[in-house]
Amino acid sequence: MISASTLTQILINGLTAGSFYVLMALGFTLIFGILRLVNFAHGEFYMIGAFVTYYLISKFTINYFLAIALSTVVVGVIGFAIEKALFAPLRGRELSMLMSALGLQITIQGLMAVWVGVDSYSIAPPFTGIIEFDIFSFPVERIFVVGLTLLVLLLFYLLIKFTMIGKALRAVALDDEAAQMQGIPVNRVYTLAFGLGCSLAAIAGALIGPVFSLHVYMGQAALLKAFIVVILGGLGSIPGAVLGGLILGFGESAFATLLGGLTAEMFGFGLIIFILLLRPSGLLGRPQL
Amino acid sequence: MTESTNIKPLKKIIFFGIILLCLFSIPKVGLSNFWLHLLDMVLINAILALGLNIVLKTGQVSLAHAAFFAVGSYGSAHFTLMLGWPFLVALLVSSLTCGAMALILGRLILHLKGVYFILLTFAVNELVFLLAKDLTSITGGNTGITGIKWPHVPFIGVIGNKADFYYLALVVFLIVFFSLYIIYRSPFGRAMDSIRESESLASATGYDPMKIKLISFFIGACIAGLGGSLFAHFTRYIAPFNFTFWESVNFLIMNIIGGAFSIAGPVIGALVLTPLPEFFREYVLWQQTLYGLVLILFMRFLPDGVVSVFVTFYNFMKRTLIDTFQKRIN
Amino acid sequence: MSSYIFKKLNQFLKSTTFGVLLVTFAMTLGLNASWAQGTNKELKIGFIAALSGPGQSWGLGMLGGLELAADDVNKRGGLKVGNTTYNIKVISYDDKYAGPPAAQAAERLVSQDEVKFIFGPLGSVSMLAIADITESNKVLVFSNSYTVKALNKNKPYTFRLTPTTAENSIPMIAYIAKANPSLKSVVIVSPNDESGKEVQSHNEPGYGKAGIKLLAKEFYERGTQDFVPVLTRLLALKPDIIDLNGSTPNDSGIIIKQARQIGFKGQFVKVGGPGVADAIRVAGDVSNGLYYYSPWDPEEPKTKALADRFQVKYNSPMNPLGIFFYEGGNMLFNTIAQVQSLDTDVIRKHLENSKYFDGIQGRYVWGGMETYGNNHQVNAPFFVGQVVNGKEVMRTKINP
Repeated sequence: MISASTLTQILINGLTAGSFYVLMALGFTLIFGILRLVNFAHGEFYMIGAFVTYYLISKFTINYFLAIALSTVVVGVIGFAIEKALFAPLRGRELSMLMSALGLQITIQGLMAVWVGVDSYSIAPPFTGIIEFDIFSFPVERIFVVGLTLLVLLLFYLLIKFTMIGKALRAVALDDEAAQMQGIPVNRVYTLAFGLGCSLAAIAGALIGPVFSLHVYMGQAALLKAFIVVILGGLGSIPGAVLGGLILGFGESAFATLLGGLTAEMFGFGLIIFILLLRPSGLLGRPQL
Repeated sequence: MTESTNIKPLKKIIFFGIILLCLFSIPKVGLSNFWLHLLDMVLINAILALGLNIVLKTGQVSLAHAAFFAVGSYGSAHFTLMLGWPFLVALLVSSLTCGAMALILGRLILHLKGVYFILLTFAVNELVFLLAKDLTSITGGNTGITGIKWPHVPFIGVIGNKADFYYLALVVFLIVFFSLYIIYRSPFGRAMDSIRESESLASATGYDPMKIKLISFFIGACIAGLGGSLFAHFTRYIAPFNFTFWESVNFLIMNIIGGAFSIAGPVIGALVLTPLPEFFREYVLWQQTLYGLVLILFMRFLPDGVVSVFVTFYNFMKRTLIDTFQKRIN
Repeated sequence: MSSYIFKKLNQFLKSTTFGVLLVTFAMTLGLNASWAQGTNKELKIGFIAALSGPGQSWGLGMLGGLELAADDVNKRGGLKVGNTTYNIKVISYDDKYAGPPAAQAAERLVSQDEVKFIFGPLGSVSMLAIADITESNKVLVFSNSYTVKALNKNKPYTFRLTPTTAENSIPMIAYIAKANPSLKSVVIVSPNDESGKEVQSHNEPGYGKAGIKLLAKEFYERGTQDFVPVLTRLLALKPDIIDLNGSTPNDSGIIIKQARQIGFKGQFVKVGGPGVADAIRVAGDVSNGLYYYSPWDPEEPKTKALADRFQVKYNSPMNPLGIFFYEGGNMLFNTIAQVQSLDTDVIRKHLENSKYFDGIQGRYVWGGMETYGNNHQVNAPFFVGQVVNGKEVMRTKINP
C-alpha cells in the first residue's frame, strides 16, 4: 500500500524534522535540568535569535555563520542578565519562578510585536538547492540543518564532558547542595546555565528560521515542540532530548503522511499524556525524588 | 503570610451584611449595559478563579481549568439547546459532569507533583481544545454554538438582560464563595493546607493525600462547570477559542495576582483583570507588554498578591489604632 | 548598594502607599481614556477588529480605510442631516480576534459611546459574538468575516462589506481554469479553523464547476510550520494545482517554499483571504506564478492614490482589505446624506432597496438572497492577481 519511495521520504522527513525538534529542545531541557525551571520564554529567545540574525544579515550584510555566532552571543548575554535580575532573587520558589517565566514570555513577545511588527520575513539559507536522487528530493537547506545540529550536539557534549564548566553544570544538575558544599559557585552556574540555554535557543531559531519563516509569534510553535520532546525524553536529559526529538519527528512524519495533518498534532499530545501517565520522568530522565 | 484576624463574630456578621446589601443594590444605581456586562463577567471569572483556588490549595497547579470551563459551557449549551432541559437542571448536570471528569482524570494524574502535573494538565487542556474544534456535531466545530438561550428560572421567569443576570451570577458566586469559606475553615481545609505544605509529612500524620487532592480537584471542577454554564448562557455564543491554554493561564494569573493563599485573592484577581482591557483602549499595542511586566513585578515584589497589600494595610491600621488608644489610656 | 535599594523598594511596594498609588494610576488611565468628550456635533462611528496581535495588519487596514472615508467627509465640511452638520468620529476598539473581547467592545460602543453604526469585526467568531448586542439595539453592522452564519433574515441590521469565497470562488476558479486548460486536478491545503473550513466548503464546488478534479483536501492545525510530511502525502497524488485556501499569507509562503523543495512543479493558487505580501517575502522567488485573490489593483490610479494617503497617514502599507471599508464608509455616509436621517431602520431599508452602490473600483452589488435569505452581502469587483518577479500583477478584473 505504501510505496517504498513514500516510506523513504517519510523517514527522511522524520529525520530532518526530528533534528529540528532536538535543536529546539536542547536549551529548554538544559535550563530545566540545572535550574529546575520550565522556561516558558524559551520560544521567545528562539525568536530573538532568529531576528537578530536577520537584522545582522540585512543591515550589515555579514556572513550567515558569523551572524549566527554573534546572535548566539548576544542572546546569551541577554539570558545572563535576565537570570540575574529575574530568577536569582526568586531562588527556591518554584511557582514564582514559573510565573515569572510566563511573564517574561508575554513581555518579550509584546515588546517585539511593537518593535518589529507582525509581518513575516525570511532569511536566505546559506546552501540552497535540491538533491534529487531517483524519485526522492532532499532539500539541501534541511540536510544542512541536520548536519549543524549534529555539530552543536558534538560541541555541547565536549563542553559537558571535558571542561570545568561542564563538570560544574553536571554537579549542580545532580545535586545543587552537594555541589555548593564542594565549593562550586552555584549561583554563577545557574546564571551560566540560563544564558547557555538561551544561546542554544537562539542557535535553533537562527538555523531553523530560514527553513520556515520569521515572525514574532514563531516562538510559540517551537516552545510547544520543545515541551513535547523534553517530556518524552525526560526533563533535564540531553540524550533524552535527542531520543524524544527523533521519536516525535518520525512519528509526526508518519502520521501526517499516512493519515493526515490533524492526526499528527493529536499524536504529539497523545504521546505526552501517555508518557506522563506511565513514566513521568520520561524515557531517559531520572525518576523524581 | 496572613495574620489571623480577631474581630468579634457579631461585628463580622454586620460587616458582611452591609457588603451583601451593597452588592445586591448595585444594578439599581442605573448602570449602562457596558458596566453591567463587565460586572457580570467579573462575577463569572471570580467563580472560575475560585474553582482553581481550591485546587491550588492542595499544591497542585492545574493548567486544565479551561478544559473544565469548556465542558461546563458546551455541556450546558448542549443540554438546553439540543435536549431541551431547563436551565437549572443543565447548570447542575454540567457541573456534575465536570466533577465526574475530574474524578476520573484526577485518579490518573494527581499523584504527579510539581512541574509534571503542570505539564500534564497543559496537555489535557490542549486535547480538550482540539476535541472541541473537531467534534463538530456536538460542539459546532470551529464556529462553535450560537443562539444559546438566556437562563429560565422557575418562579422568576426568563432572566433576559444583564441587570437581572447580575443577580443570578451574584447568587451563584455567593454560594460558591461561602461554601469555600466554610470548607477552608474546616478540618478538611486544614488538611488541604498541610498537604500543600508537605505531602509526606501530611500522610505521616494520617491524612490520605490522594483522597484529599481528589476531592478538591472534584470540587474545583464542579465550580468550573458552574462558571462555564453561566458563561454560556450569558454570552450566548461559545467557540473553542474561548477555552485555550491561555484561558487557563488567565485564571492562574487571577489567583496569583489576587493572592492564591486567601479566598479573597481570586475574587480580587478577577475584579482587577477582567476590566483591564478597558483601561488599555488607548494603548492597545502595549497591553501585552505591560501585562507581562506587571506579572514579573508582582512575582518579584508581591508574590502573595494584592491581598497581601490589604492585609499589611489592615494590620498597620490595627497597630496604629491600638497604639493611639494605649497612649491615650497611659 | 543595590541590595539596599532593593530592600527599600521592597518595603515601598509592600506598603499601602504603593497599593493606593497603583489603583489610582490605573483608574486615571482608564477614566481619562474613556470619558473624553468632544464639544462639536459628532457622528460617532464604531469600529471593532484585531488591532494587536496576529490579525493586526488586516484590522489596521480596515480601520484606515474607514478613517480615510471619514476624513473625506470632514474635509468637505461634514455630513449635513437636516439642520445639523456632523463631523464623523471613528471610535475603534481592539478585539484581539476573539469573541468575548469583541462582545465587550460592542457593549461599550453601544451602551457607553452610544453609536448606531459599527464597522467590523474582522473574524467570524467576533462577528457571531456581537450579533445579539447589535441586533437587539438596532445598530447597523458592516462587517468582514467569512462565516455563512453571519447573515440571515433574523439579523436585519447586519450587512457584510467584504465578499467571501461563497461569492468569489466560482468566478475566480473559472477564470484560472480557462486561462490554464492543462490544469486538471487540485489538492486543497487549509488551516483547521473557522475561516479555513468555510473557504474550503466554497472552493470545492468551484473546482467541480470548472471541471477540475479535487484529489484531496488536507487540514492542518494553526501553528504548524513543517508542512513537508503533509505535502509528501499530497504530492503522491500528483496534483496539478495546490490551493492554499484559507491559509494565512505566512503559512502560504512556507507551503509554497516547501512544496517546491520536495519537487512540486505545478501551479499554486490562493482562493481565499487577501494579502500575499508575507507569502512573497517568505517564499521568495518560488512564489512567482502564484494566482491569488486580490480585493484591489494597486496600480489603478484612484486605488493607488488611496494607498498612498494611507501610507502617509499611518506610516505603513495599506492592507488590501482596507479598500472595502473605504468604499463601505463612503457608502454609509452617502446613504445618510441621501435619506437625510440617522435612523437605522430608514437607512437599512434604503440599502435593501438600493440594490447597489458605486465606489472607486466600480459597482458593488447587494446580493446573497439564495445563500442568506436577504440581500445584505456585498458582491464586489475583484481581481485575480499573479505574482510576477516578486511583484503583484493583476491578470483580470471580475465584476459582480
